[in-house]
Amino acid sequence: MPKALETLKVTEGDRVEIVFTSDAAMELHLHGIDKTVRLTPGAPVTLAFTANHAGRFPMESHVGKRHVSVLYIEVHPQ
Amino acid sequence: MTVGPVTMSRFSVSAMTVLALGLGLAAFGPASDAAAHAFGKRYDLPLPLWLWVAGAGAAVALSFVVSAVFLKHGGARGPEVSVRLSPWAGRAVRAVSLFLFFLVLAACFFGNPETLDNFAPTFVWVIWWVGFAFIAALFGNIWDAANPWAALFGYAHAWAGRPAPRMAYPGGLGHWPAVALFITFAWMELVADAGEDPRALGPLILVYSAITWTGMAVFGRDVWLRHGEVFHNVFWLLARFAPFEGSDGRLRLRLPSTGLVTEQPASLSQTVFILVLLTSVTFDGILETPAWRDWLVWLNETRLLHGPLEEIGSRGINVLRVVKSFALVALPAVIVLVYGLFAWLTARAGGGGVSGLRAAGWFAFSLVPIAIAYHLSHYYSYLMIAGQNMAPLLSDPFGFGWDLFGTAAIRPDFTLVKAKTVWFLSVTAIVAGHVAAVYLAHETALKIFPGRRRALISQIPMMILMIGYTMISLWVLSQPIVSSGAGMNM
Repeated sequence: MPKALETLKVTEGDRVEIVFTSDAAMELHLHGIDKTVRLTPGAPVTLAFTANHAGRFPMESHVGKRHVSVLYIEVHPQ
Repeated sequence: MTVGPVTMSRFSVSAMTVLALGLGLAAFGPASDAAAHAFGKRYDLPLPLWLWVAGAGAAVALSFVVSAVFLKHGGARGPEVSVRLSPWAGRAVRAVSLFLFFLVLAACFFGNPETLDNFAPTFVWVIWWVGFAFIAALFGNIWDAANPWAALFGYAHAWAGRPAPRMAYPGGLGHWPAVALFITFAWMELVADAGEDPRALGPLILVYSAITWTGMAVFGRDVWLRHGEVFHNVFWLLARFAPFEGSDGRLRLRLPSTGLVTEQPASLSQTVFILVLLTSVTFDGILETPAWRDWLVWLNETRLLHGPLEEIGSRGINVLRVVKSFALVALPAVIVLVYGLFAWLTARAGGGGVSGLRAAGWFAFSLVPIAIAYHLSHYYSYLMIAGQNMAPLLSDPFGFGWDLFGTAAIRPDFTLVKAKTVWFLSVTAIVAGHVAAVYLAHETALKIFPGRRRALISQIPMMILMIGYTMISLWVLSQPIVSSGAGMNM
């Protein structure tokens, strides 16, 4: 049973680093900021970017044709 | 660029979680809920709490200010200004509109089938449906001149020697054809996402054209426009708010929203049409709130419904769509009942000289500004961001790789829309729409109830209703946007 989706809140201009770990191979795509991370089981992967513009961006796992949101990143204005 | 502090975070995803979320959706139907959703994705931040409180507080306070002003001075009268309109203005609008109508159809049937590579979906949903509503509400009813169905029928009708309508329009039918067609349209837009696929959009436009022209041929063009042509009704209603009004070859200036003070109450069917229009706009926002998702999860887990829903899903029917369809009908039904109750209370408080049903018809128009305000807040960033896709699409409308104007490579720039701008615009629009609604209702009350005291007392229930509606609009904006299918798992 997945719990409510997590939301990571940052401020505009922040440097953001997220370390992802996964128990399966998958591809995560951060919409709006347009970043993709490819995960393999057990190996942590760091996604780093500067939050240049405010907004609420979904990070989605692409399962076949279906996009499933796993995390939201909220970039708040300064 | 200044680099601010570094935010470090750890996040672990398990395949089980993703599978559960994904399969949850799968169990709810075979069709992908999200496959095409890059079209129309919104990245709006939820309204911060302090701004929500400020907006809500302003709405309540200003309601009383409007009342107090009315108590002293009565209604406001606008200046009468008008200019003559060249007949070429209408012809030019019609020519552009017909060109776009045929371009959309050609793109639907012969263009690239990918949503974002084809002119039609973005033009129809973003520029026309959202953009035209803005123009109608903030400028005036250009649709009257632009309506391609009316224009094409007019030409064919003249060519055929202007045959008389086949039959008189049955009075009892009222605006019900427009209500039924609008609910179908809203379902296509908000539930079925049918319009995102150009190959589906084309036939839908043709079917609607056939219905419209049949209606016009049978009952007469203007009769069908008034009672059955959905977009004529939608844009007419929104444009009653607008500062400009064109009629008899003249363009008149009036105070915004004063066009919503009418000489006649809305009929029952027209009242229902207005309420369905209001809820459809709010519905789109509600489907993206966490509350809606939680409700879906509850629905999914409740013993009573889990079985039947699974049964429907196992037959290859998209359960999420069934649930949304139900909500699309249930929500307006609830609104009609609530509004009916408040209209009845208003009629009683006004002294009982006016029946509840007639009061409902009189006050229906005064709700339009709140709907316009919500529409503006909800779609402003969408129009500004998704609308930018028009640049490449104009250069390459069929998605064949053309570059007619050298703009084919332009991609939407998100930074064009600032979060703070969206927030302030949203709250300002909603509070202003609310004030206009309260003002209109007062104006109407003065007209239909005997004496100022009675009129003011009658407005207590109406004001409570409007404050409630405004609060709901603000609440939806304060909710983080989540995709409407996520969280359903079986």
